[in-house]
Amino acid sequence: MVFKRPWSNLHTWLNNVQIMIIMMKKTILISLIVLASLGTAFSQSIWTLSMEPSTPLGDMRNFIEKSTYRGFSASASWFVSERITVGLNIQWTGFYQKDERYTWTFDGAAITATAWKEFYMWPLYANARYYFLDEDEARLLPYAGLNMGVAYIDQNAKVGTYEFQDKSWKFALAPEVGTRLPMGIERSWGFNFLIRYQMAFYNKNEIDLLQFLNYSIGVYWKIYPRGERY
Amino acid sequence: MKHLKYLIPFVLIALITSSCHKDPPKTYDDTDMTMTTYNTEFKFQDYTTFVVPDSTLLKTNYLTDAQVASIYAEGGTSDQTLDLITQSFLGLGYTQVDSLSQADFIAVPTLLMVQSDETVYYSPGWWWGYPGYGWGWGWYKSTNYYYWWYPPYYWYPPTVPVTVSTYTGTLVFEMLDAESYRKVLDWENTHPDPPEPEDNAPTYEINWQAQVQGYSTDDGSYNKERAERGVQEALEQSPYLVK
Repeated sequence: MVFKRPWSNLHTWLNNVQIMIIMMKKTILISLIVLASLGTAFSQSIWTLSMEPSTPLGDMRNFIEKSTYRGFSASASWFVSERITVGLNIQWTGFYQKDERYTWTFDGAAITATAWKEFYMWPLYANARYYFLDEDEARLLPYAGLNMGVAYIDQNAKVGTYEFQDKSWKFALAPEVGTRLPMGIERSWGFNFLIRYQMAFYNKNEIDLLQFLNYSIGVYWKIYPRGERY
Repeated sequence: MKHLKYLIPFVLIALITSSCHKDPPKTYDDTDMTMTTYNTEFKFQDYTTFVVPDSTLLKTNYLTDAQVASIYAEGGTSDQTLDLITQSFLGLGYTQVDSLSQADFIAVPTLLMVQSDETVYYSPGWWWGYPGYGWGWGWYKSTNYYYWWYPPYYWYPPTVPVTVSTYTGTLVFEMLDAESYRKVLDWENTHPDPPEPEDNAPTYEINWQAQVQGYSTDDGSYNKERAERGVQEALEQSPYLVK
């Protein structure tokens, strides 16, 4: 396995991307405030904490192939109609792999040594979900959704006594399918299972599209606007 | 069951935080590196023949005379290293010749046994010193390093600091351009020693260098397994050398 050009140059369009990301972050923040204030006042909300093991896919496997169970997410979503929710999701996933003899190749030189490689991703998403069944009737509540936002990515490696680190903000996208399993007589909490396909437009260190699969197992609570529950 | 939902987040957090750790280097082997650097503008296919010196160069600042003698004893580290570099280049498809005048390049094996508390950076060929002292067959130096003041042939990627591993010895293999070496020898014969800075002396050209750390143990004895693995790794890093 060969890993080339660890210090890739910044692309000329990076500034534009950064501006776009800043604007997106602002949009997400404003959406969060609006949703939190309007949502809690007028609609039910679902708050979820999940553990999220992940498996690298595609180009990312050139760097780390090993699946990880180090990941979690916290999300909140609000019903905007009977079957549609919109919300926010913050995630963290940490990949790690030690290679006994890893070759790191760059212009005019190469190093082979034991390598400790890490990949961390913090996506911050706005999302929307569509439920296929009505909230109060079904035993299982399957849904499909889409997350969009930005991700803070930290890729680093220690090869022998050399180290490199590459931190960046990237646009990220994550379609998901899953189901909620309501529990309790009042169905006010339950379990949430989902599979999410993570994509970030990375274009660095020989990884064009950063891809991995999340398997999420979580717990959720429903919060009702005052006066609506009974 | 009623309290289960309050317990779950804490279990999740405990699981996640307990999993955040990274293995530190535990053994010498973990920090042993094999590195190659080469002149990206040079066509290695232009080389066909090579010559090897009669023994391995040694650079050390701590080995005793007895230890040095054992390195140069028959069948010792020096002989084994020479054999390894010779076999490596033969295996790549180059032809060994007996005289410097017939050779396209000199396959130079050097063993660095240098103790230092600090990271030592060095560039190819830096230990050769000035031409008057000379690099010779079977030459070695057992005192502290001295520094080249000669303008080196500089192609080394500036982003790659190369360190000398001090605890286990580092093997350096180099392809020294034979023509450049012959020019330096000719120049030496016509210039007084030491030369004046304005003499515009010729320089050595080193087009390929490999460093294998963990090549020998502290006392200079040969670590066959690591040496062979390291040389193999260096050759795998350098597919452009294959004839």
